[in-house]
Amino acid sequence: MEVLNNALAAFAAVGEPYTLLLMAVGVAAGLIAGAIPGFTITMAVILTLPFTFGMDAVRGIAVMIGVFVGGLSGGLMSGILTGIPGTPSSVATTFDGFPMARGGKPGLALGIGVWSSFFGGMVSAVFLMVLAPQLAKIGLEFGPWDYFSLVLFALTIVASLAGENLIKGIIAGVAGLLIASVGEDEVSGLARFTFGVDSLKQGFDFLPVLVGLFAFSQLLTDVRDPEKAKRPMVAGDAIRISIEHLAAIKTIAVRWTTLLRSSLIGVFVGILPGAGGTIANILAYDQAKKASKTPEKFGTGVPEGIIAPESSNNAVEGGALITMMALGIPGDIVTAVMLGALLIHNIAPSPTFILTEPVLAYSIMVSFFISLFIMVALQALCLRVFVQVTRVPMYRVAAVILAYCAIGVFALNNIVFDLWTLFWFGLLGYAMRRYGYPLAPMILGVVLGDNAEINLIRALASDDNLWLFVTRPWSLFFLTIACFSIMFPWYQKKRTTQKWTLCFVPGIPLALSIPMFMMGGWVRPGVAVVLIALGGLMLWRRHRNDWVLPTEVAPELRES
Amino acid sequence: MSRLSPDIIISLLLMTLSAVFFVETFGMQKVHLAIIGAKLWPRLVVIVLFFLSTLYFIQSIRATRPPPGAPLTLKGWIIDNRNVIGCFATYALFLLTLPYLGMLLGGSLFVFATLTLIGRRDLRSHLIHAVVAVVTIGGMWAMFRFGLGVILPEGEILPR
Repeated sequence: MEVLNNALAAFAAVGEPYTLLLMAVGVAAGLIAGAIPGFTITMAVILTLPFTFGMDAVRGIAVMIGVFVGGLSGGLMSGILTGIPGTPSSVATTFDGFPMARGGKPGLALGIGVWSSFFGGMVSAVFLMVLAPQLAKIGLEFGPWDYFSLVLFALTIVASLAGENLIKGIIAGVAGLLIASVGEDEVSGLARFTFGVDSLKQGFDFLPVLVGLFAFSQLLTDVRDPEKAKRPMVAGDAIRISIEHLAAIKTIAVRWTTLLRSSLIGVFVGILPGAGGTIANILAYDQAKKASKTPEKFGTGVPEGIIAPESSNNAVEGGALITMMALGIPGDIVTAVMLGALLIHNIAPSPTFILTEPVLAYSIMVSFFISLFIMVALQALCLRVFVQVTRVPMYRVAAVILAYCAIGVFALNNIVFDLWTLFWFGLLGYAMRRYGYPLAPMILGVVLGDNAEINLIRALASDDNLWLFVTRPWSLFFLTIACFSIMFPWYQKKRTTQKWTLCFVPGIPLALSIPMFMMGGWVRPGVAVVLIALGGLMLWRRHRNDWVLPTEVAPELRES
Repeated sequence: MSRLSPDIIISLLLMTLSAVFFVETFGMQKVHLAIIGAKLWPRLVVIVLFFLSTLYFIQSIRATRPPPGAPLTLKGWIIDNRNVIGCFATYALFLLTLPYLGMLLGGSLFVFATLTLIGRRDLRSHLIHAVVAVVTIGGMWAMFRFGLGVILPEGEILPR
């Protein structure tokens, strides 16, 4: 009953006409941003943040979620119509979307993309509503040791996604922690790393750092090539297409297993910190191809090749919101920005967040839900407008957005120091991009730095026994996954050449069963038994196959 | 090792930075009666950063191979990044002149200058750039000023 009351209160808050109007503007902005190649969704959400300062928390978050949902779906338009994905999370959509459009069915291809996004989002919205409160209950068991290990896990998993640049990924994450420690200490209020500069006493504000590192550097990367910057972002003739909604829904309904599987992949990938739509869409496409009876047809314009990536990349956000709302750990950079937005409104997501701020928590879920409907409506009505925007030269968009970055950042605290912070972090972000340093670990380090420090201090202040980090079950659980995530790049690199890699995946459930056993009760040791059985089964299958190493992955997926 | 690769230079820079930050932790104040000082966490982070930078340095030395093609000169690097350098330069100029020009005038000039610097340079384009600069910055300035109630820097040139 309480859940229903909270959901109704959230519907009432989000359902106000003005909020809906703002959300529609947000979704439209997201659709445009998503359609522009090189203009990522994260950048769009970051740039929206300053406009939400003057709004209350519910309205601000609703607008940002609108931008995000729009952005995820906007990427498919340019991907399907031109073969150039608007965002990295739509890369796999082009594999079959573009051939289908070129084969004379652009309306159907777009329809399948739009409705797969919608249904994928719906599936993840359901998971968000069901899983987030449950995960928050588990989160209430965490002590400072467990939280500290959870932050370490989040940082290592993000760093490990840097692939062969693992060391650069970890350095970026640690540098993020260092940036977060500049200024007054959260516990004692003492100034640190100010080097005698008064302005540094307050530390770096989250927004200018984020805008500089991500948006500013991205824009400069986009205009680096003088000739490319002057060309329209997407070339080609003007189009006159209408989306075939009914045919698309029928096509998806027949292939509901692909939709469901891909959405579940999206939710799962979203729950993992740092792993976003970019990974989910490729993974879902790969799984759809493997599950298909006619895998050889993939790449020629089959509906499954659009359904899988589009439903999974939209399902990611529901998953990412689950961890943010339940544990206060952002699932990706976008949710890191939302976390920052909540902090600006003096609300810190934690396991008690859903309990203490039920209307706001449910508003996030409801906004996500409503944004999907707005997205479909706008796609149907304004498709041509969104595509036309992509014909503007990149340099014009970049120059204007650079100025908007400055205006938005200034509006946060009304101090010019923030604009210089934006400048220096823009330089740093550009250099990082140029020399192969991933930005996500640094951003996560900046966001989670204070959290990590406070929990470490709390842990050590209550007991100086460092063994507690490995003897407390949840802490051990997170440290175990952190170890596996650190080893993941080596596993990926060697999986076709070295036999030890065959034990890597089975090793994960086997290792995780130890902390599960330590948790006591009946359910969790039961889960541990299942994990042991799963790991054992995988090992047995490898043994039965004479420990044969897998072959190379498909070339188009490897390139992606 | 025929010459320094960017990775080696960056790793050396990171090691130096970590050392500087480590030394800085000794200048931090102490809080009486505090069980754990304010310096513990930053010092821990700096030590980890130094350790990782050292690993990165060793890795970079091992991996150094002569880069393919002609060696990159400073002139080549500047030509390669001229748009980026131009954008940073105009942005720095915009920030330096902000107290005098204000956000409305300074922002419009920044957009116009950046568009002209990195974009097309003919009369029609200049006109488009001017219109884009005035409309986009003017519109955003008005939205913040009248819509969101945020007073952006007014400068000294335009009348208040």
